Order: sequence, then C-alpha cells, then structure tokens
Amino acid sequence: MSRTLSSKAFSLALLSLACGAGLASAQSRPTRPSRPAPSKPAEKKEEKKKDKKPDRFFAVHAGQVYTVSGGVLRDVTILSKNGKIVAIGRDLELPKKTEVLDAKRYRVYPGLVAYNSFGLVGGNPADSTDVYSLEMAIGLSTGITTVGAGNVVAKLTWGTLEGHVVGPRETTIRLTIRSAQQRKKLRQALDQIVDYKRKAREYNAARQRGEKPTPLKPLKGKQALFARLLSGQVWAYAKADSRAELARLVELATHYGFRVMLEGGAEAWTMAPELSRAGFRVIVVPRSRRSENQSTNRATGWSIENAAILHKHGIPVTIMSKSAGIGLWGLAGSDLFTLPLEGAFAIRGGLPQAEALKGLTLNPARFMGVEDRVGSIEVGKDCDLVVTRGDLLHYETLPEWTVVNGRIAYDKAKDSLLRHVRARDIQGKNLDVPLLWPRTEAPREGMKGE
Amino acid sequence: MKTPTLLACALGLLALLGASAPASAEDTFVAIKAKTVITATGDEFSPGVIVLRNGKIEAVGAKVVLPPKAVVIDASNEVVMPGFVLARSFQGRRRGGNSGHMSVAKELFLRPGDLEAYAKAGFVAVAMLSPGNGITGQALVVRPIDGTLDDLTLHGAGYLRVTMTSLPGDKLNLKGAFKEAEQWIERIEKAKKAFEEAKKKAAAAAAKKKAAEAAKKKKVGSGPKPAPKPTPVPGPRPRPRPVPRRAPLVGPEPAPAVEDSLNEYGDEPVEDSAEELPKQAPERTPEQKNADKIGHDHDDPNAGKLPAAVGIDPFAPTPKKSSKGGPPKSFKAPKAPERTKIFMTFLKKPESGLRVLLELKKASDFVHYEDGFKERKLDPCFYLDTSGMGWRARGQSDLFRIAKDLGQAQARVLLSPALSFEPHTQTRRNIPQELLDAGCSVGFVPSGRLGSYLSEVALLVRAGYDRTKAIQGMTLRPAELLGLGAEIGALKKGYRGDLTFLSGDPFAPGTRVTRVVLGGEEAWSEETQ
Repeated sequence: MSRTLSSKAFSLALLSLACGAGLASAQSRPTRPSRPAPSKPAEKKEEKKKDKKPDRFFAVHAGQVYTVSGGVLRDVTILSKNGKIVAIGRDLELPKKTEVLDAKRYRVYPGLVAYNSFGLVGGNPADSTDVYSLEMAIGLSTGITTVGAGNVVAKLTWGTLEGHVVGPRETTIRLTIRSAQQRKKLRQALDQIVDYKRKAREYNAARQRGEKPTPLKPLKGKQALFARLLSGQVWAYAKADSRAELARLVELATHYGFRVMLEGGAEAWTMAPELSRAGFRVIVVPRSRRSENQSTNRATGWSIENAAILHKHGIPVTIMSKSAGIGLWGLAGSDLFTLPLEGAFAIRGGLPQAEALKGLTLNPARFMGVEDRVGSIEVGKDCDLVVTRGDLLHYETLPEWTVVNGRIAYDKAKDSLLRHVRARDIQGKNLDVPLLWPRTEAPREGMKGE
Repeated sequence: MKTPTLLACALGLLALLGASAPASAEDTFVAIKAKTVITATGDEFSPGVIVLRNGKIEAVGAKVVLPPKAVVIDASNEVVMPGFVLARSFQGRRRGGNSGHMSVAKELFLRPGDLEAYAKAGFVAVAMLSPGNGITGQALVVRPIDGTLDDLTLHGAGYLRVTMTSLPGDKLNLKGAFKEAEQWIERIEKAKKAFEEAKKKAAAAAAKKKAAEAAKKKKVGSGPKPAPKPTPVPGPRPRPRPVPRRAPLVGPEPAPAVEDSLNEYGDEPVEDSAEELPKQAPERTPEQKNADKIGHDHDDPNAGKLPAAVGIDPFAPTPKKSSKGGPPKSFKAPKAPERTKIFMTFLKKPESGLRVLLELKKASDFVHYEDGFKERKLDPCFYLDTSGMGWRARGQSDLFRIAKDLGQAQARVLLSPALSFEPHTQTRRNIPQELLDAGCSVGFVPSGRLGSYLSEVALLVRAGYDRTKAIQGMTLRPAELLGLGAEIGALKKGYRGDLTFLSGDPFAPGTRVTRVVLGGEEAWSEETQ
C-alpha cells in the first residue's frame, strides 16, 4: 500500500518537474516547510569577517567599453567591489579609497578566455600555479584573463591566489571515432544506454499501471555518463577536421540525439548546415591549414571563411590558437600569445567583428560553463578587463593594462616584457626605453653603486 | 670625532664591569691584541683588545687594562671579528629524514677532520640539516671541531626545516601534516570527553549504590545481624585500557579519582612544570645545555633523544610509571605518532618556540605559503634560494617580488649574498639589499664554496650593501635564527669567545681566515696546517 502511494507521489513529483516552473502553480505544489531565516549570529559572523578585510574598490574611467553582451558604451565608468562589477555608468559616485584607472583615451574589453591551455596555470591550480610565471605574464600581456586547464577553469591572477580558481569546467565526454573499431565500440555502448532507457520507460509505465515490475539496476560509471549524454545533460567533446570524420560525427549525434562540442573542424565550413542542424558548437583555429583532398569531388581543405560560414549558419564559434601553450622557445606564432590575431584572421575571412570578439570571450566562457562569471562586461560579473589603445583584434594593438578580479594584473609600461614596443605616453612624456638588447633600465634603489 | 667618544664609552664600561665582577683565582683570562676588532654591533676598534674570562667575552675595546695572569694572543697583524655562523649546511654523511620529529643528530656520523673545512672558512657554528623536500627534520648545531657529539653540539634542535619549493607536493604535504594533527587533537578531545562522561556516570551509580546500601542497613539494623561479608581482596582490578575508538567504560564501577595535574594529551599525568614551555631563544642554564646535548653512547637509552623536541613537547610521558593493574585513575589519551606531535604543538601551543626554516625558490612559493598557512602561526624564517629558477632561468630569481611582503612582516630571511637577474631579462637585482630596505632581518649563507664566502659578501658590500649589516648577516643574524643570538655572533660581554681572525679587512680583496678561536682556545690555525 505504502509503495503505491509513494510511487504516486513520485510520479506527481516527476509531473511537476516536467511541467516546469511556469506551468505548475504555486498552490498546486505541496507546501514545504519554509526555510529557517538566517540566524542573527551568522549575520554577526559575516560582519566580523567584513571587519577583518575591508572592501576593495576598483574603477576604470573608460573611453569605449565593448561589453560583448550589450554593445559599446562611451565615456563610462566601471566600478568593481571585491573583484565583481557593481556598477557601469556615467558620473558614478566612487567610494573612498577606490583605486582608479584612468583610461578615458582607451578602449576596454572583457578579458579574453582561452578554452584550452597548458603551462599558464598549474596542473592542480590551487596548489601549484606559479603566479609569477613568464607564461602567465605573456598570457596577460595578450589580454587573456581566464583559461581552461584540465577539469577546472582558472584565472591569471598575477601575484595572488585569491580568486584563482573559477570553478570546475563543464563536464564533457570525449569521443574518439577515428578508427572503425572505436566507432563500433561507441555504438555498442550507446545502444546499451538506449536499450536501458527503453526498459526504464517500460518499467515506469508498468509502475503507473499499478504492476510490480522488477526494478532495474542503476547505471554506474561511464554508463551513467553516457546516459547523461543521451539525455542532453552533458556535451560530447570530439576532435575532427576532415569532412569524412565530421559526417560520421553528425550521423552519430543525430542518430543518438546528443550534442557535440567540436574542436578543430578545419573542413567544418563544408558541412555547416548539417552541423547547425545537429546543434554543434565549434572551437575553430582560424589560422590552421589543411590541404585539399584531391580524391573527392566535394569541397575539402581549409578555408579562411570557416568561422564566418559557421557563424552564418548559427553555430556558436569559439576561437582558439593552434597551440594552447605559450611558446618560450621563440615566437612560434601559433601559441596563445597570438590568440587575438586568430580572431583577426577570422574577421579577414568575413566573421563580423563583434562575433570574433564574442568567440574570444563569451562563447568560450559558455562552452566551459562559466558565463555567469566571465566573458562580458556586465554588472554582477567578474571585473576582468583588457584596456587597449586601439582595436584589440588589430595586429598593432597590445594591451596596456589587463585587469583580473578588479586588480591590475599587467601594466605594459611596468612589465619588462613589451614596454619598449610602442611605449605608452604618460602625461605627455615618452618613456625613453631603448630598443636594443640587452634591455636596460634606470637603476633601482637597491642597486647603489652599480 | 667618533672614535674618542667610543673609546671613552668602552673604557668607562670596562671600569664598571671590572668593579662588578671581581676576578677569582680560578678564573682563566685570555687577552687578544688585534690590529682591528670588529664587534658586529656597529663598533670597530683599531687597534683593539678582547679579554676573555673562562672562554666568555669579558671586555672589548681600544684600551683595556689586561688582567695580571692573562694569556696574551698576539694578533697585531690580524682583524678579529665574531666567528661566522652557518645556518644551513648539508655536508656530512646523512640520510634525509621525512618527519618533523627527526633530528640530524640521529644520522650524523662524522670522521675526524670532517668539520675542518668549516673552521678553515671561519665558521664557529654550523647547522647540519637533512636534505630532501618536505618536512625533513630538525637541524643540529655543531662546532667545527673534532670530538664526541657531546663536545660538538651547541644546540640540539636549531629549527625544523620545511621546504615549499616543489609544488604541489610540498604544500599538500604540510597541509596533510596539519590536518593529521587536527584530527588527533579532535580524537583526544573526544576521548577525554567520553572519559569525563563515564566518570560522571560511574560517580552517580556509586552514589546510588551507597544510598541503597544505607537504606538496606537501616532496615536490617533492627533485626538480627547478618553474617559478615567476605572482605574484598585488595589487588589489581581488571579494566580494559582505553584505546582509540573504543567506547568508554560505563558502569557501576566506582568513580576514579582524577588527579589535577592530568596531561590531557599525554599517556601519563605530567607535572605542570613540564607543560611550561620555554619561550623563544630562552636563556639556558648550563644544566639545561647539558641536557640539550645528545648522548653519543649507544648503550645509553637516552641516546639520540631529541632535546628540543622533548623540551617543547607537551605530550611527552614522564619516566614515572603508574602501578600495574588497578583502575586507571587518570585519563589516558590515544597516542599520536611522533611526527604528528610536532604539529599538534604548533596548533595547541604556538608560543612553544620551535623555529621553522621555510625554504622558498620562487616568489610564487611564498604566495602558496601565505595561501595555505598564514593563520598557522608558524612564524618561520625564510630561506630564499636565489640561485635560479631551474634550467630555463639559471642565476635568475623573482624573489624580489616578495621583498615588500616579507619586509612588512619584518621577517627573518636567510639567503646567499649574491646579485641575481630579473627572470628572463638582463636586469640585475640586489635581492639582499631590497629585503634589507623593506625591513627584513637578513642573514647570509654561502652560495657556493665556503672559501669564497668572504668575497661573495665583499661583492655585495661593493654594490652598496651596508658594511655593518653585512657583518651582522654573517654572524649575528644566522645565530639569532638558530636560537643562539644571546651566545654567539657578536663581541659583547657574556657572549662566547668564538672568534675568527682574518688577514685583513673582511671585505678587502685577498683576505683570508688565519685563525679560529673557540672559547678562548685556538681551534684552527693557518700556521699549524
């Protein structure tokens, strides 16, 4: 008796879940015991904590703000409190002790987001990142503020570990379908899940009829993950460049009904409609090359228009560089230092400027599941900004300041890395930095007699 | 202008001292007449005289009245200064320990002449350490002479060496050590609580029983007397020893009398005095010092015992054993491993005074230390490895980035007296100077060969480093770090007569060590070689 009752309750709960918040009225829901109001001691504790650490305010007076999510704003101030943007507007009243960055002659962009990275943060970021590493400095110098590293998303917090780890990266299941054997195995595994789901439906139907069917064993491990994939909770992650591989992926995705995050996709432009219909997300490397396949009469090979064509078909595009590291053995030209140039190359191929910017900020943030924190300049999001003199995606532009969590993490005029390249003019004075190697600098206080 | 006033001060001081402490017939006096005497407190006397009384400094000055029976050492061509102190050395045949409770003393096997190189370079105290990463154990401070470990040892536990140079391993290691200690403290607290509850219940049950018996007696008292009960045999009463995770004894057993001087963390009750821990760098009596020294005799059951660990260990059992059998009258805490006790001490008694040497290689290591252990009150001295940041950046160091933070905390730092480069540039950095300017107390350790130590510091002085601070960095600062700041490292009254004789000014080119005097006796001399 009790079992049938509980099953009824279960189905009711399911129904209410299926109906969603909009359909199920508040009255029809079973009344829950209201949450206890936060007790006063807790509030006191919070107050005490606040007493310990004073709020940290940071503001940027910006000439132009490229918000990515809300157009371009002119002559506004962005105010952040403890690393979060609290206000964007004109004539803002700034709290006392606000650190102000005067960038009235500059453009402000949200910090760039690199979907993949290695070497910029540690393998276990919270416990091993070198917060003064050259890689981090170079990443910041090109405007990158957030990177995906392994299973986590981390920020390039120069000199501090405060707010270093953003959170776990959105779970994806890596699919490898290069060989026939791999595809066969994948199909078998997915078929098992489909079968299980059918049995589960039959089981539920039997329960609703009042029968007592033998319960199914719950799925575990990889099978459970595959079940989540087929129910659309998790994305599949696959690397594919050739048209043939893409076709197989599309076939799998449409047959089993899962969503794919595609990395590479050099020939994706040839299959844009199919990818769009199958709900793909694509991480493109605009400057990567792939030669044409002479043995087929269909369009193959790389195209400068790849990102533009994908965008035209409504496919969200993230822009990445070919290497996810920082090349310290010389200017490799295809590492994360050139990430904005990848965007520029996509623009050259026809991608709208705003979309290229989105592909370097908001889209990768979405792909990693951290769009609530980073990717655009909005109130409530983290204060991660790139301040430049010209267009961020122009080949001549180098970020002048990079701000992470409301802190200036990089200042081109102070960092020895690039300060001599088109040295910044401060209050009418040119920084007299010689271009010759070795780079020298004015003697420091600590170098008496040198 | 300055010298006459100094002279007058010194003379006046000497007169006072002479009046306060009259010489007895047994006292032995040694007088050293030197070309220059550098006191490491800011004074220099040329010429200068040092008078030692029973191996300790009695007087220093330009003109000192010599005691009548003083043995005079002529150093009229030499510069005399306090002996150098080496606060970090790995030389010797030792295995690396991996726990905080370990001391190098347990693994030190010295052959005659092993320590001669130190004396040759002018060192009078050397802290021996276990190499490796992590929490490698406690340092042993020795004098560079041949002899038994008793003769050698100046201090049994200079400090605990902890590295933060290999991340994430080192950070997780230290985190784990603290976590383990926290868990043990919690476990002991729990066991104690359970014991208290059991005691209360037992007391209540006993009272009830007593009341019931009294009532019975009252009833029976009116009738005929019952046969006398057999008297209980006095002897051991079996009672299980409380072990971790076992339920405490609850039952009608009579309440055990609890002594007031219970050691809540030890196995046995410990006297209150044992819990009184010495403060940092305490003035130690000769008896204490003897106790500090480590027994070298292998038959001695106390051989290899850690003196400092015992000194600061609030959990150490007293040698007194409780009588066998019988109900345990006191609370017996679960026994934590030795390596954990060190960290329990940090958590429960941060004032206990065990010094920590934290080794950093990169500025980021400091950020990670602050991130994980700022609230742990370790109050470490920092060893900054400025030699380079790996194969890619040899000779380059980014440790200047933390100078401000260390200065704000007025940290004690130990590093090589060397200039380095800003990483990936040709920009020179004088990190010792930057640390000094920021407000740190800076001590030196030679970066390479011991013999080139003087020239290394000389280069730094030539680059603008303050001369007196440089001398202190070689003598007093490392001595302070080792907890011997009131014994060696300066020429002051009451300090040990551990002196280094130089052929000329310490920072002049070509200066070499000519003699080393320990407690008034010549320990090494250029001439005898």
